[in-house]
Amino acid sequence: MGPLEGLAFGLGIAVTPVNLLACFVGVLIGTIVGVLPGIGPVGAMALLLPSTFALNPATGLIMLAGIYYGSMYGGSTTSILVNVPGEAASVVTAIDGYQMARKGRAGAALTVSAAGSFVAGTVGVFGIVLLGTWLADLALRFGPPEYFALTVTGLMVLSRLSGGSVLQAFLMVGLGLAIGTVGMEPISGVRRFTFGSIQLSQGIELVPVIMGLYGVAEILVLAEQGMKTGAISKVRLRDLFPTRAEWRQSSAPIARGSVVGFLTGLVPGPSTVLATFIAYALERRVSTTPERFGTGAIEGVAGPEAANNGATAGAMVPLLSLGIPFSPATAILLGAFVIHGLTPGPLLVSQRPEVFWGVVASMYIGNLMLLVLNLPLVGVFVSVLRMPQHVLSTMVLLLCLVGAYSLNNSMLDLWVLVGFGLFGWLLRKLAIDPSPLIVALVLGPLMEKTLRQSLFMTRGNVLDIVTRPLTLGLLLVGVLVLAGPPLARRLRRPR
Amino acid sequence: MTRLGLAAVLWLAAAVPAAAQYPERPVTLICPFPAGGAMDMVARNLGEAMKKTFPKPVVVVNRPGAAGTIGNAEVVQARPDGYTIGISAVAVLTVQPHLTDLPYKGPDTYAPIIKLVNLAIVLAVRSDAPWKSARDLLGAAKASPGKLRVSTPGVGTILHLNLEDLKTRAGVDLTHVPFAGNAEALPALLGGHVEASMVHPSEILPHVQAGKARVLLAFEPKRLALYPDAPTARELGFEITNGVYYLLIAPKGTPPAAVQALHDAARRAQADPAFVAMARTRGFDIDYLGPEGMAAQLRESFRNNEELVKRLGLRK
Repeated sequence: MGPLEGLAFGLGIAVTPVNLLACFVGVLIGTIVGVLPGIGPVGAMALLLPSTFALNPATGLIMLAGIYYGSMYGGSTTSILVNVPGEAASVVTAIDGYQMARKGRAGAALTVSAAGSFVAGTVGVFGIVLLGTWLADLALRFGPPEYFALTVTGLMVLSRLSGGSVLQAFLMVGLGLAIGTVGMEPISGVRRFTFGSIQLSQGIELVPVIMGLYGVAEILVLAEQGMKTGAISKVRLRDLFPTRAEWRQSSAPIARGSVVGFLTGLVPGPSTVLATFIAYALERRVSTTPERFGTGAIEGVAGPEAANNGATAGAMVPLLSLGIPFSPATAILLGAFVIHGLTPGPLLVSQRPEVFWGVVASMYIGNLMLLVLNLPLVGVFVSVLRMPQHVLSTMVLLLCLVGAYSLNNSMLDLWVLVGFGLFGWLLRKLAIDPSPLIVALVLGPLMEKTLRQSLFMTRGNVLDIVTRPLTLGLLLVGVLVLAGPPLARRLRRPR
Repeated sequence: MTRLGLAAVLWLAAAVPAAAQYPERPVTLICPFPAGGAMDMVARNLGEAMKKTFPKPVVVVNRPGAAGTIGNAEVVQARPDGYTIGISAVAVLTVQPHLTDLPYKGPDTYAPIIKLVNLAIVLAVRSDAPWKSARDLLGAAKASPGKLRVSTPGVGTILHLNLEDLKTRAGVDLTHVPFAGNAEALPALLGGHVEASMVHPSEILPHVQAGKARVLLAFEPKRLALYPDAPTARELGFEITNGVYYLLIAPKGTPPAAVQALHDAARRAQADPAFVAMARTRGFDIDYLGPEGMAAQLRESFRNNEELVKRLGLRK
């Protein structure tokens, strides 16, 4: 069966009434957990994993996968409307999305997000179908040294996401790297900065840090400003759709975000979060008017929102082609395969074509459903803003607390949320951008782990690490991106 | 026998009014690893199967973190009333306490309920690797010390201890590359970043079936049905038969009647067709030991692993 025949065969399976229903339930739950701040896809999927016991394998997987990519649609909603990310992969969306909302363009931002997610989802499905095996083999060529180089380059390029002071960005990066070392070191089990506390040995999770720095901090700022509801945008219904100019500005970022996101999905770890940061940095760099970013540039919404959905498709590649999950969400999907006695891996497509193609094809149908579901909802979501500020803030705060607890059933995650909420509020007062901290917290643990593994591999020989061709190439890319523009400017200036 | 046990429980229940009510509400089963993982799979299937004979639901709660020690510590420190129990594994219980200070130590600091399953350990290489047998591999390692890299899912796992044990007994120098779980180690094996991997049989199975990997050695008393061509370490003259096992535990001081009731329900669940089918596809061997037998095996593992940890200098 060729890839396109397979997809057609899969569509036949995915459109059976029960699978359509499963897909719809999945994407609906996904949209809801995406919209609700704090509660993310991983928690929801873990919660619903046992309920797939009773379903047949393809149906159960179609539903769980729907939650995963569906959450990427919903995540942007609260980012744009109230500056509180709906889930971790929508932090970047808040930067320009919220500014757009304040200018009365919330509807446009939400519509572009949904459209971007849809395009990325479509690109992703075809990416899986046409390039899946090839990309999985490519991912295998990345060993610990290559991932180390990738994280170093990533940190160099992404640490100054939104401009601003270099010194502040470096401070935030340092802090993020330090926070990433707390807890039990994952490969040798040494406990660091735990002060003998068994709770702290689990480490500081990314999600409560993000929800604290952005969500709780925002609510504290709002509370401080008092009940100035007028500060929040009034949205008129006729402003719901993007203007022709806005569509034009968004189309290229959506295309770039789709590709970048899909490829980033192949990186182990929280790749959806990483994808949004990369897409935002990319848009800012290619823009002819980078100064608009941070003040409501629609490119800063379109790129990242396409990228996080693209990354969910990319993350399916190692799972479906190798049977190996690269991210926490796909690990749960692997669990769902196993519950049904299936072993995803190189043979899945030939042994159980109905499951493989059914799930892949359902992703396309699911994305279509999400588009249809989300566009009419834009108006509903925007009307949330008419809710009294004190009610909305209290709800958001509660949801953040519930979401943080649902990650690991851990009280520590709640304290991290509260602590970083206060810290985030302080940073807002000082007008310091916390995003470099997030970048460092995403990349730091991966960077440290892969460096240590590389050193184990080469028995401590650093030269062996940096002279691998891919490693060297990746590091050079980082240097070029960083040093290129200033060098070019200097070369041009003497004239 | 189990019917007799049940009768005894019923009789006890009738005699002691307080115990008569156990279980009067759902039991929380803490799984110290994330949802979707191997242990979670056993826990959830066990909970489903126990529903058929246990009067109240057994609810699985994931409390992951720090190699299972956090969830395990929560079980050990819970109120010993039979309503909080845990699933655990040999490394969490008998290796981790030697590496760091934990709220639990030896098997007398908690109450083992029942042994559930064994999980074998094998050594695998890529199928295009030049070594056709474990002897080939060990010979190559002798010829060029330190050149061959072998992955484990982490320092202090039983898979790591077995590798170190093999190195010592065979007198070879293999470079150990620890990962954070085999989901990270397998891409490194398949991509050629390590030469061999310490894995569980089911983890490598799809890649063996696809012709990408080969199993060379099993750390078991007998050859595995799944890989009949792979000799055991014992056949090569190395007495390494440490496997991984999962069990249920309760906090110390849990009423014996509750332990017995949980034990009986879990014992019956081990024979449940769905549980048996899960075990087969996941490469688990269902194995039974009661509370005393389990405690004895844990004591032995605890002693052996203390020795290994000391010999390898793992305690920081």
